[in-house]
Amino acid sequence: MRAWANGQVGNVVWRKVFTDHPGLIELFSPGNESTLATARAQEPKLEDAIIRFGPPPPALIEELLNGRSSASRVIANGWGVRPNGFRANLLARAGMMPSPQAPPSAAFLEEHALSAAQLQQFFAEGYLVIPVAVPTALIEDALRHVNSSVGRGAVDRSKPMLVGLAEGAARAPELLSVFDSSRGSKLPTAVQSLLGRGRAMLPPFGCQVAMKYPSPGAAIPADGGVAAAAHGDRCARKSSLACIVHDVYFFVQSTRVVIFPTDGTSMGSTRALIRRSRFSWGSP
Amino acid sequence: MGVALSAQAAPRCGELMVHPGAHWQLQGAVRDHVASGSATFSRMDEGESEASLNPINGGRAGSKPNLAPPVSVLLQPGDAVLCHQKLPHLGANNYSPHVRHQLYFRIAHVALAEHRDQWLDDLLLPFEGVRAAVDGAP
Repeated sequence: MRAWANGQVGNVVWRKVFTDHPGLIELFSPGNESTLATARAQEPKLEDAIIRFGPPPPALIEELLNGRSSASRVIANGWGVRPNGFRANLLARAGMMPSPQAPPSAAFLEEHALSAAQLQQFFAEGYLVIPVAVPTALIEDALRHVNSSVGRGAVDRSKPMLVGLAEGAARAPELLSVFDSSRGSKLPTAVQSLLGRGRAMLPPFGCQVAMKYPSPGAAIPADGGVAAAAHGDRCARKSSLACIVHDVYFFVQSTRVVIFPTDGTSMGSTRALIRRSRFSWGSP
Repeated sequence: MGVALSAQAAPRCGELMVHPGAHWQLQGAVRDHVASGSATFSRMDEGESEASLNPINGGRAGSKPNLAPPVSVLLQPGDAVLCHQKLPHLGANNYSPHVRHQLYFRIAHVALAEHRDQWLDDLLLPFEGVRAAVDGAP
């Protein structure tokens, strides 16, 4: 009974893992045994998951590889499975990083290249606005997907007033298609103008869908609404001003800067870390 | 990288705000801070609370870097904003009647793992195109 239960749990767990990290499916496909062995030796989390839940059921692997699951939607999009953070790290360590050559949909197009003045502005100010970077049709597809997902309840409401999509929905092709240069997007070229041709991992693996809901009142405070945001009311959250320096998150609040190592934690877990280790410092 | 799905034509509609150029300012501050070995930029003495330190409440701001007022990044649907990952930024509150929709992507350099520990000394490390433009390379 316990073995059966573990098998059922394992199936659910692995399905969730593969949905979140489609690149891992390939690792368990036939013929990749040596890569998998390397991964198990180098990634304690993977080894721990295999020990706790057993290896993923072959039927599940076959189902996902045959594209009958949501985890394979990226494959159906025609861009293939791009290595995620774990996969990329693994391949890098093994000297097997895929060619940096951009896939066709992320091609560099000269007519969309950033000008020298734009690059200079990015250098000096650290940001750059690109007007009409994504055609209206792609924006409407993305917005339709967002609103449809909200209507179906596939949302992440962990942040007050800033609603996001659930993790799976935030990796949908409708969103990643804003990077499709074959449909007129300037984004792949703009990114490669900054990082160098073929030097960016494109298209990205997912995105944050940030829906910022209106405050209860329309009156903008005397401080212009900035102080309220920066000082952490319930609408703007505690840590509204964040930047990353030397792999250290800086949370610049109204009164101080809290520093701690990120260790690859997400922003969500980072906020929890703040609550636990305020004023702490660790080596970056 | 932010991609606007909805219009953000006026300030305080939930738009992104940035401190232009402040990543350069913070780089030095962080380097000094790391060298000092201090636990935090700002200090909270015994009996003080976050609220009591807040300048709005008449408290001292501590030694937090002064980044100057932030600037609103106003966008129309389809516009994109590219930000250096170390650029200090925040989100304005939304006093408009509309929901602000935006996509944010984190773009990775193919050599991200190699760059991991070198950020403190070189903010342009992955920006090969920017460096070439600044250095005047073809």
